[in-house]
Amino acid sequence: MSVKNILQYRWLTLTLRLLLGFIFIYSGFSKLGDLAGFAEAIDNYRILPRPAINVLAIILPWIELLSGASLLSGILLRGGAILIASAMAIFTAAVATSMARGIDITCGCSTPFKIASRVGFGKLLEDVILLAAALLIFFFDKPIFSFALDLDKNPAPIENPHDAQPE
Amino acid sequence: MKREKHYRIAVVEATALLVCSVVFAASYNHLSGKGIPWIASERIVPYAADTTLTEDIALPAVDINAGAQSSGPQRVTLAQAYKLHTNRKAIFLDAREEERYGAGHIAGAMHFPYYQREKWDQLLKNISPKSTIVTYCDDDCDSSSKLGETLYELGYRRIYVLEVGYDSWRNAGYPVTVGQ
Repeated sequence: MSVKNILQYRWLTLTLRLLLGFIFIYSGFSKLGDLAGFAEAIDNYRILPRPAINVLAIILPWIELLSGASLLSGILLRGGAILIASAMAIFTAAVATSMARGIDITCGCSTPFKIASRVGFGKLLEDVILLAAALLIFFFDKPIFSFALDLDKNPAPIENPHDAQPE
Repeated sequence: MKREKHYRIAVVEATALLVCSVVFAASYNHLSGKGIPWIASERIVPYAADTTLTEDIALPAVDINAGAQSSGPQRVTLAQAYKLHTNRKAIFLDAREEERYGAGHIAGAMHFPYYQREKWDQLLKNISPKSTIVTYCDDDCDSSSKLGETLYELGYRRIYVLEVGYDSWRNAGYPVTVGQ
């Protein structure tokens, strides 16, 4: 089985979708209960300017929730996948820079599996795996059970105009 | 062409999800009762009066300017901090990371990294709750005020937070030490 076949193995991506969707819905919900605590966790990274911290703390849980829901339901699937991939890329960079600066903090993240709650190599590995899963879902061309936007409102162009003329 | 359409759809869908997220977030933050201000306010630490700095150990410290018993750490100016330093009445705690502490710190200051909580138990064994403590970090940071607030919650009552930071202290020509 070639790499392409593995990547296009529909049930693999469907499983990843369900797993990632569940993780992000759980993560979003758990943050909604304590927005102030989440803002404090973001602040601890010392990356964002103070005015941006609460804005992110308010909006990010909902991005996680809706993106997770899109992965589970298949509605706006690629948009959800790219949002999750972007979020994971940012989380990965935040964890990596915190490790490089020697900051020892809780990650401010919440997953149902409690793999790693503090910034460190465990958290970095977890983030990279989730990022890879999101990218796999995004680049997988033929998802099943999904409902994408149809941007082609106009019918396909007719190759021979004479064919379209009324007789 | 197909790939381009794939990306175009993803961008439009992602934008739609983002807009919905903002709308839901604003509604939840406004209506749920668990909301927080959109813009975080700066930590406001009241200034300490000179008289409180010269008092002997008295618990809790009283902010005369506020006219009420202090309910947290108080802020000291560079001059007030220097006075405490020369009187040797206070323990200075450097809340920054180890590298920054090693690159230069207030002479005699103890390294007390705010973001490395696992080190706190050991460090706190050397500090009496009755001690006068001055916390500081860099000029533009808030780990010193966070450290001050946390120590206050732990029962330390004479806590002062340097209103500026190490850079201003060094630039003022006050004593510093480079290295551990």
